[in-house]
This record gives sequence, C-alpha cells and structure tokens, in this order.
Amino acid sequence: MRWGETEEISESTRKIGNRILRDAREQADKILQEAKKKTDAVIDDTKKTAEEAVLAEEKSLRDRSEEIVKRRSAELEVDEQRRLMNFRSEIVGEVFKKVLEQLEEYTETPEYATTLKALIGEAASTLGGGKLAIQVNSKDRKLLTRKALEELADEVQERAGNETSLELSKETGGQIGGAIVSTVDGAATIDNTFEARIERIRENNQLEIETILFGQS
Amino acid sequence: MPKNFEALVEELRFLRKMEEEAKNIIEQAQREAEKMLREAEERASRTSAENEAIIRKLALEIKDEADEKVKAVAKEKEDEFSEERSKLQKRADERADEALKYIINRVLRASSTE
Repeated sequence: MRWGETEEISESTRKIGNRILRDAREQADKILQEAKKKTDAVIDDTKKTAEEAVLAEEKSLRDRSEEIVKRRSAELEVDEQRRLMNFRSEIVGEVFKKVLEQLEEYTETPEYATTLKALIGEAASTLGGGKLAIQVNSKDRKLLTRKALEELADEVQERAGNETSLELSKETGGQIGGAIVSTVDGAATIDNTFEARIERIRENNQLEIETILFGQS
Repeated sequence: MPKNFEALVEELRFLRKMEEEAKNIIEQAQREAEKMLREAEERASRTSAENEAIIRKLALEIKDEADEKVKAVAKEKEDEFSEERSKLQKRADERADEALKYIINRVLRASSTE
C-alpha cells in the first residue's frame, strides 16, 4: 500500500493531492511546449539567416567572379590584338629590310643613274631652283659629271622658272642611294635619299602596305 | 465522522508531499526547458560556424570555376592568335613580292620621272 493510500487519508484529500499533481504536470507541459516553440524559432531563424547569408554571399562571390573573368578576358583579347599587331609590324619590318637590300642591288644597275638624276631634279624643283648643293654618297659622285649636272640644272630651271646651278657638295653621305639637295646658304634642304623616302613611305602609306600584305582587315 | 488530530496531521503531510512533488515536476520542466533552449543556442552557434565553412568552400569553388573560365579563354585566345598568325604569315608570304614592288616603285618614282 502506497503512502497516502492509508485509510487515514480521506478521499477528498487524495483528490486535492491528485489535482495538485495534475496541475503541476499541465504547467510543466506548458513550460516544455513554450520552450519547444522558442527552440524551434531559434533553430528556424538561424537556419533561415544562414541560408540567406549563403545565398547573398554566393551571389556576391559570383558577381565578383564574373567581373574578374570579364576583365581578364578583355585583357587577354587586348593582349592577343597587341601580339598580332606586333607580328604584323615584324612582317612589315622584314619587307622594308628586303626593300633596302633590293635597292642596294638596284644602285649597281645602269638604270640607277637615271633614277638618281630624277630624284635630284625632283628635290631641286621643289626647292624652286637657284644655287643648289647636292650631297650623294662617294660612289654616286662618279655618276654626276659636270655635264650631267648642267643638263639637270637646265631641266630644273625650265620647270622652276628660276636660274639654276647645281654643284656637288664636298661632303659625302652614307646613304644607299639618292641625294640630299640644299640651297647653298643652307636655308632649305630636301632629303631625297632612299632611306628618307622609305621612311616617308612607311609613315604615310602604312595602311596601303598592310592592305597589300594582309588584305582588308 | 470527525477525525482525530493525528489523522489531520497525516493529511496535511500528504498534501505537503504532493506540493513538493508538484514543485519538483515544474522545476524539472523548467530545467529541461532551459536545457532545450541552451542546446538550441549552441546548435545555432554551430550552424553559424558551419555556415562560414560553407561560404569559404563556396568561395574556393567559385574561384576555381573563374580560374577555369579564364584558363579556357586564355587557351581560346592563344589558339586564335596562332591561327591568325599563320594566316597573316601565309598571306604575307603570298603578297610580299607585291608589297616589295609597291614600296620600291614609290621610292624610285620621282615626280620628274612620272
């Protein structure tokens, strides 16, 4: 027989005791249910916050990553174009190197004398005739005899409409071919050497040369 | 039937005992509730730490993906460069003579000879 179930405890007192225990259990249940609600809320909030944080961070990381990929791709594109441009320049450079080689060979041909005179005539006419000095390389001096210079001077005089005399400068140049023509007072000079003409062509006709070499880009 | 004094004392003891038990039940429930809450907070704290680890891992994965993409673009550009360079070289080889002739003609073509 349990304590409290002795005959000394009345039925009504036992009922009160049971009621006290039942109320206590109900209150305990409420406490636990409330705690469960709170813990569920804490866990749900944490989970939700964590998921949102991961999503937000993932979006931010992906956006940044995409930016980096775009920037690097653009840099690689620019780098590729720069390398191709350098390659084209190399090829053009090689062509100009061959031009110099062929022109050097050309100066050994009989036709060169005519070209040299034409180049001098062109420069002299551009200067408007007058007393002019002509600088050529040591080898080309032989091509410009007194007679040849006089004939050339007459041609220039006719074209420029100005009395013209041409004389060889005492100084010689190191050019492959062509001449530097100056007024004797040194006020004006036209460089019509092969090298200077090549340089001008390279500067002014780059697009045409590249179009011939590589086609329309 | 009227009770004697001992019986009343016995009933009061009984009721006090019931109250003690009730108090224990409630206190135990409170302790359990506190424990549940503490565990939930610990779990939340662990979740935050795990979350940081997930984000670090994700960051590495995304960085690797980006590196792969950049590598692929670099390879693509390198291939394009090689292909374009070959085309340029081939065209230039085919047309070098024409370019050479064009330049030499311009060098030699003084206005007086035109």
